[in-house]
Amino acid sequence: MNRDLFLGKLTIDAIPHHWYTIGATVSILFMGLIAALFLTKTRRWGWLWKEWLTSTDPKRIGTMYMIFALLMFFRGMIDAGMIWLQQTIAADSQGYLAADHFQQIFTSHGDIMVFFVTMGFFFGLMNWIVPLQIGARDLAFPFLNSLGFWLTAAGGILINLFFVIGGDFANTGWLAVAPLSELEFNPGVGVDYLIWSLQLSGLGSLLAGINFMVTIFKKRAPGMSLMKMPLFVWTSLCSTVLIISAFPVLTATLFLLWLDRFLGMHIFTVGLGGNQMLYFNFIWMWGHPEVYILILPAFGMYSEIVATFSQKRVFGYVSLVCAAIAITLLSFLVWLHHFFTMGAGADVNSFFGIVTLLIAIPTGVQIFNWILTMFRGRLTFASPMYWFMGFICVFTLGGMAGVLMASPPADFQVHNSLFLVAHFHTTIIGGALFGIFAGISYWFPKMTGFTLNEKLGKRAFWLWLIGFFVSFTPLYLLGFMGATRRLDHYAATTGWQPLYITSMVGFVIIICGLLTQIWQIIVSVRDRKQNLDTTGDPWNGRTLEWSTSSPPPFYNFALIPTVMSRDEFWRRKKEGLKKIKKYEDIELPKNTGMGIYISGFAFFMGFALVWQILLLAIVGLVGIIICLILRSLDQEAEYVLTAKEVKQIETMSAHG
Amino acid sequence: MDSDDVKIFGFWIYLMTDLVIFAVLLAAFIVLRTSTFGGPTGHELFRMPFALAETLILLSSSFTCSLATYSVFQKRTNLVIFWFVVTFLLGCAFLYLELTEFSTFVLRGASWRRSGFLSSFFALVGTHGFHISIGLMWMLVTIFSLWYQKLSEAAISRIFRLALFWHFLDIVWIFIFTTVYGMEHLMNRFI
Amino acid sequence: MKRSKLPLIIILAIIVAAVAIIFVLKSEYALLAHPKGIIAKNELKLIGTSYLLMLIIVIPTFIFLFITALRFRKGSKAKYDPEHSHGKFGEVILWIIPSIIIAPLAVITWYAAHDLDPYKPLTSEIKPLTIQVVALDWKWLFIYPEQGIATLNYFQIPERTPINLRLSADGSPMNSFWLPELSGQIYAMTGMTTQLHIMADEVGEYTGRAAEINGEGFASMTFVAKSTSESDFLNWVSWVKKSPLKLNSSTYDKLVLPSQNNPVAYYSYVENNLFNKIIDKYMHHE
Repeated sequence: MNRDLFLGKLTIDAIPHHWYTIGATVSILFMGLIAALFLTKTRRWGWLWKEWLTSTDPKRIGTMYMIFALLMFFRGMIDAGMIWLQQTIAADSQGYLAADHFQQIFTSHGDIMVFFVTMGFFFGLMNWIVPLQIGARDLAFPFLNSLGFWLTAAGGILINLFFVIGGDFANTGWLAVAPLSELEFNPGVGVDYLIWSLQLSGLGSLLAGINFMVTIFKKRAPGMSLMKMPLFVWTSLCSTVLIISAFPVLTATLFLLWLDRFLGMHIFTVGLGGNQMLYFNFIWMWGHPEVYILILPAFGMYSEIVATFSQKRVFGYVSLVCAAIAITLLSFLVWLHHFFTMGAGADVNSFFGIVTLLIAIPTGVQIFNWILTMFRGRLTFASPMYWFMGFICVFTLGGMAGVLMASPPADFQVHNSLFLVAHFHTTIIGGALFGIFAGISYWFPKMTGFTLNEKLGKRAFWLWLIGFFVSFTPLYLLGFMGATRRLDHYAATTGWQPLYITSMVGFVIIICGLLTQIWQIIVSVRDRKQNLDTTGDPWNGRTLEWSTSSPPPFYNFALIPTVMSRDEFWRRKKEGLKKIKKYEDIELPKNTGMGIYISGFAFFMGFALVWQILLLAIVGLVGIIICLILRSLDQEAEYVLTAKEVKQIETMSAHG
Repeated sequence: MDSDDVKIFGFWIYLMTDLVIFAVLLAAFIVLRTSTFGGPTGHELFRMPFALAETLILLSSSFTCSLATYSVFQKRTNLVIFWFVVTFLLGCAFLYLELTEFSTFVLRGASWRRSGFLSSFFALVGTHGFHISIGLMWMLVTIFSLWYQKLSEAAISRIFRLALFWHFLDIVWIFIFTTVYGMEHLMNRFI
Repeated sequence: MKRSKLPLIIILAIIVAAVAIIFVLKSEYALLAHPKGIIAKNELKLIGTSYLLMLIIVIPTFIFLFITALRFRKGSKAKYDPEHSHGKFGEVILWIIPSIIIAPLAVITWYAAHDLDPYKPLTSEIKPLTIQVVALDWKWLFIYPEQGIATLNYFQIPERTPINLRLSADGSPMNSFWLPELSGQIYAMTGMTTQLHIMADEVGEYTGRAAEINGEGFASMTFVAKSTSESDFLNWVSWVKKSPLKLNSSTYDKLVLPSQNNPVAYYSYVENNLFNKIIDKYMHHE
């Protein structure tokens, strides 16, 4: 009993002793050491704490989200490479990975890419751009913003912690489906690591979703009615509707799974009254809205980008808004299409299939609207437009595969095959990831004050596009050849290996694209003095974020603008920009370390629950509660920037 | 910061997300209510008078909580403290009854390990009880802060949110009471 | 310079890709494209119809996209109309166009889902053969209740005979039974039964596999199905009846234990009502 209290299930076995856990632990420690040395040598620990970690400025938090997402992206890509390599060589052999290890790799690949990379990048961009586009200084709840980020970071640390302590991650696939994830089939801590890292980051995402929803509803600049909002804000709003409705379902479902594992309950178990199908229903009730959470912000970004680079109003603003809302509502009604093969009967299957088909309509409408925006415009093809064109090509193919699978009998054949894997990678990479790349290349000058190297950007695009087609077209074909997903080995007589090899070549091309992007950033930083964005408006933009300097002052706007139309900034440019005559006092939130402290306690609680270390779990929970109480009693969370100070900053930046 | 109106709006949205969590737990219970796997059924375990007592206590506590909120608008701090203390005690009584019920079940062998039905019951009602505990802790902090600090704008906003939370938990309990205890009783009558 | 070559490169790439795709799909390895059973054939028809309907919209959309992208580049002499941003008529049309394709697809989906419902028995004058399938960790058990035999990781059927499969699992998490050349898959779950109705249109040997991850031995969980003439099938049944292996409760209990790469096995005797007993294990009885 004593041991349980202090050590839980921890044993000497938890110390890394496989080649990959030792390797990962060493890399993590090495990277940490380098960072610590750098910070010590340049005496920047205080700077890091004050300027970044405790910041409540959404621009800072946004940047932290994106750096975090980038680090997780590297981890996810390494996972992908390991998967590809295994499948390339595992014809009539076990390859270089044991089955269980291989299964852990694709599980973590999926969770990392969905929860930490795409959501991280999108929250990063939303933090930066949504306040600027609605003429606000900050989100509705700055402290919650910081807390949401740090909870996500805590989840990210926890999902990587198994390398250092424990050695095993879940081997169940990214959704940890029951009953495979139950104690009977998975008694180790791997599934628990998955549960708690997803719970922490899920909570962070939920808080961010609430924050953005309230911000968009309540903090718009005067005059900006809902129908005057930029489309990126509209789709972000729809995304938050999905987040607040769907993420609690994930929280509850993972909680029930954890209860099964921790307290020996029988919600989803085999036998004693558990219901396996219930898990599938619940998890996909979250899972389907989740993929629309990932794609809607990208749709909004594309709308902005196409309008800007066509020098033209976006075509069919109302249609685009209706389409986004339609997609949001429909996405709640289709979850069963993820398990047509469970035998729900033709009536139920057809209902969900037909509703799934309906989602193709608003999606198609959006594409037509974008093309019509380009029609009779004056097009320039900077790299954001390249990503947009790539998105249309790639995403449409993925969408077609989706419409195909909406028919239950077609799905019976391709469900859980590599055709399915190709479909969702096509839509996520073509839609969400290309959107992230488009958004970053579009807003990079605004965020940093200098432009990205265009030549390298375009080269990276071509490598990604070609690499994508070379790696994923074979996967569609492999589905048609009877190749199931998640196989760690297969017989050579299936004839699959040449296609796996082709796919691997595509992956190498994609890696070249990724390396080109890294090189692009390095070169752009190196050449930044020659490529300064002095006007704040490098693309001749249409929306309010371009009316600020690059980067904007920490308070975004010296004076909150009064909005009179859609594409407000475009209107102001056409009618002549007005000079600010009188400055005002600005109230801003103070920095706070509470987000870090609470997330720290939450991290320890999550870790304790994974290993069933009761004392630590209680300490974690009590710590969270005490921090929340302290925070609630804090009466001085804001400070005032006087009008005089604002004027000083503004005139300095105008002359500097 | 203009925020009290914004904070209340945000809190409402949070309550909606909490509602979704309870909806999932309730759905799990409804699906698993017959999965007793030969173990005790609700009909055997649940005692209507008991559940009714819990419900009345919680409803009363909601009423006293409203009285506390009303006193806030009247700016009578002492009265606010008084009504919150009453609410707190009623809440504790509710929890005590609930824990008694749980321990009775466990001692009879009807623990959460016995069947899917019992698991979903404990998960649903237990989560509600956990929320009640958080509410009670929040109430304690409020009572103490009112004792030592005066009734500021920020404090009023926080009290309003606490009241929302408490009423929300009461409404969720009505759903739980109806679905878990009420339906079991009704179904029994027709068998 | 690069711009003028780009459309050509893209068209060339599409042609090369199309040729490669056709080449792969034509090969015998593309199991879904070479169905050997009526269900798989109808499922393939559905896939083809879906794609054709979609291409009716997708191809013109791509053409429109590329022409627009080329024609309205900055510096070209095309008309520039910065305020052209809506038209009541135009916007409604945009919603109608995809609906024109989705509507027939929806109708087709309804009928196909009912027609190809795995629970729907096949119409035929020939008496159906029932096989009970049990997914175990990590092998497939096939029980022939009418013939009183069973096989492991292999089953044989007469061609052009409707086969009624009843599926379940034991000691194994969620499973999926997939024999792509004969039909799409169906899940097999412990404590529950699902059904699949298939038929082989010709003589042949087909590989099937588990299609839902279920643990370490997932990738090894393949089986072979062979369809032969009616007389060959009956001879095979008699041959199996001479096997020394018997599937009684103690053999079965050993079989349920996790194992991989089990060799094909034939059982000449199956314990009475074994399939129902397996399912009953997970139902509580007073």
